Amino acid sequence: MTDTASDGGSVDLLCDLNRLTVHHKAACRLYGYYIDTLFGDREATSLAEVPYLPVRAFKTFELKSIADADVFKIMTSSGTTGAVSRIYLDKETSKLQSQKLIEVFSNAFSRSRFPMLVIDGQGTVTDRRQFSARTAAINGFSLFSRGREFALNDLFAVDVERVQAFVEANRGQRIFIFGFTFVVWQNFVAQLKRMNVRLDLSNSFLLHGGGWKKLADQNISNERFKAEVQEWTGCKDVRNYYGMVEQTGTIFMECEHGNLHAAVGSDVIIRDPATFAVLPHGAEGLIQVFSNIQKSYPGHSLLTEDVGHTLDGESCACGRKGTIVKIAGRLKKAEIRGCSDAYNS
Amino acid sequence: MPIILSDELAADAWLDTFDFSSRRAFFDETTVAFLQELSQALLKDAAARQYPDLATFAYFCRRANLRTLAQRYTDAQQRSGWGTVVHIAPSNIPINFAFSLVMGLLAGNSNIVRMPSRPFAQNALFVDIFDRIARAPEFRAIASGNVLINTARDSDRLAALIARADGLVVWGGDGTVAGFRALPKKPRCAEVYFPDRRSSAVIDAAAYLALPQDGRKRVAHDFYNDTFLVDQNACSSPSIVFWLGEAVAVSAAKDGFWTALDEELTRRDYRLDPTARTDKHLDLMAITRTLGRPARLKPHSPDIWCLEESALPGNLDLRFGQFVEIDLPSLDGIEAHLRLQEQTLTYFGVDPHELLRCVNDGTGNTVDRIVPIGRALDINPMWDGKDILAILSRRIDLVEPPRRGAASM
Repeated sequence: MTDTASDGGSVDLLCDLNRLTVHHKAACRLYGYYIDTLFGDREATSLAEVPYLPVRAFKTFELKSIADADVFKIMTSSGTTGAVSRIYLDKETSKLQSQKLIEVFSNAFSRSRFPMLVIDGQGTVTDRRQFSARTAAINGFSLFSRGREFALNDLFAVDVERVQAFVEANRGQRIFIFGFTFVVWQNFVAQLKRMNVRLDLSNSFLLHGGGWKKLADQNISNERFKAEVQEWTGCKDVRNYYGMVEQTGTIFMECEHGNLHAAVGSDVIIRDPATFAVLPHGAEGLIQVFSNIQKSYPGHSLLTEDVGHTLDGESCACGRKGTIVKIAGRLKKAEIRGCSDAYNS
Repeated sequence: MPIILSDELAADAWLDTFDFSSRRAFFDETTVAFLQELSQALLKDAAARQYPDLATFAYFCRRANLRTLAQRYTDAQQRSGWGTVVHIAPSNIPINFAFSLVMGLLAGNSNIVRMPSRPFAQNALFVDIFDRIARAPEFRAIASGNVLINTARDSDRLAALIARADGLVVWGGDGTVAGFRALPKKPRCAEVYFPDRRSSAVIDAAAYLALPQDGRKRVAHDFYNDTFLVDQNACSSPSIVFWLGEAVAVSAAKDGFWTALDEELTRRDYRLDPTARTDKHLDLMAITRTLGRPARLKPHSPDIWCLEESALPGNLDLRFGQFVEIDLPSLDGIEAHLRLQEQTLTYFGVDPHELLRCVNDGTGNTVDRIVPIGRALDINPMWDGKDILAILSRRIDLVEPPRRGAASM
């Protein structure tokens, strides 16, 4: 037996994924052509055999498994390359996404709603021209809010008075702080430090996501991030999550022991960047994510361009069994050789 | 050869010392002496020798090769440079900018070269060695008359330089070419464009089968150099393989060929970049979309994918190890399968003159190179059906006086 994540994957999940592959092959013509060409018709007997789609496919192709009339929402993400992912949702998948998010969130924190402090400017959600993955995430996590305030002004500077008024108004209640990792660092913690202002958010928890790349570039570790957040805000419960617009709802949540676990109904494996062959736990490579709620678009098995490794979920003392993923960063942009300039921005 | 960064470019100060429109003779003695020294230095440099493209470039610049090249131009005495030529190098092929520069130099021009936006190790090496050689007093004119610039391709400064230039060379996709064609230029500006092209290989099955083992190894080696060496992403890298002969022979030859190629990939430790491997998947998806059905894919290995689709539309990308195979009983049917942008036909076991006869029959195909397998990427002043050296040089027309005997007629 090889020591791969797929051995730990539940049989239920594999059945769900096989069913979704069949469903999307029938409902999304282009997906069917692609899968038939490259993976054939056989049923997967392990996660490694589940046909995958490069996540970038949603930037190039229209991939939906529902009729135009049933499109309830189109989610978009602006990529770093300028191309935009388009994710087509019907009411059912949209609802499944919310349910999944609630499930993961309440498993980590609690089922209640909290006063929510968003580490961002209000413009990020109100200005329709700025709709982005950030907007989607803020709105998505607002499911868990009861009263919401924005910590940054329109210039993305900390509005200390507003934040302190919010803290006062919610004294005695646990506050949910949410923001993008880099924004929390650059526009919140670093500014508080510069202004030498310490907030009293000791009765709070911070959830942040969106990637470590910019922080990794500055050599800032998760430990240092947590320490500085605590020093300047008093917040002791700091959690990171890993997720993408192409699998909204199904996020990997950091547990109290600092590990990002796959949620129930999802899993993760690693592929060798050079060959796309599946790698065992501990080996670094491309991250492939699975989720069983994507019915309106073929997003149940996606090969990302993120790099990391996995660990057996059972190895964590928190008791959650979901596979652990450790994110190392984004794939370095390739130096593609050739005469055409398709890669030049 | 200083590299002008975008800030300095914006400041314009470097232009005070740059002798715009300075020019020299065609295959000028100093230029040839300089290139010979550059060639020697590149071939001696251990780091430079690691790069096959840099080594090929160095061989091209040898005095003996340049002399052979010059002899092709019987009118060399009548030629000289136009002045300053601006070169827009392709973003993704490393040493191509140097080749473009050398064409400009040999034709007798001073040169401003926009460097590829991506940093390549062999480019940095080239610039170091170029500068070292150009430091000698006898090459001062070369040092001062040639600059590399780093700037956005759509920068106003670049457009301003092009407006003053006497020549322009653009390597790039069709979109890039259209953009530069539209820019204002001097009325007599000499322009050369190298847009997107596609290429194919032609193999005679019986000739291939007649090869001994080491012969097949050599063909695989050569074919690798045409394709996988540049991730099959050069315009002249073949993406269609035409197999000529009886069905049984063709089938046996294919098996032998792809097996030998896969062995060559292993020998040379071929590694496709993960982003490119993803693109390979997405290219395939685009193909199935165009076909409106699954494609008939035959993967010979994770790196070699063959499509058994004889009627694919010509505008589809086939790169990173994706080939279309087309079986033909003889050369005669080939013309019908050539694509709109077909450029290079590489061949094995086929009479090139026969090939020329088939494609040069006045019909609409666009083939302008017929070379043996292994030579697809060769540097040559004849490219895309154009003679770069001729276009980048001014030719004074000289008419001899009428012969005495004829005058009285």
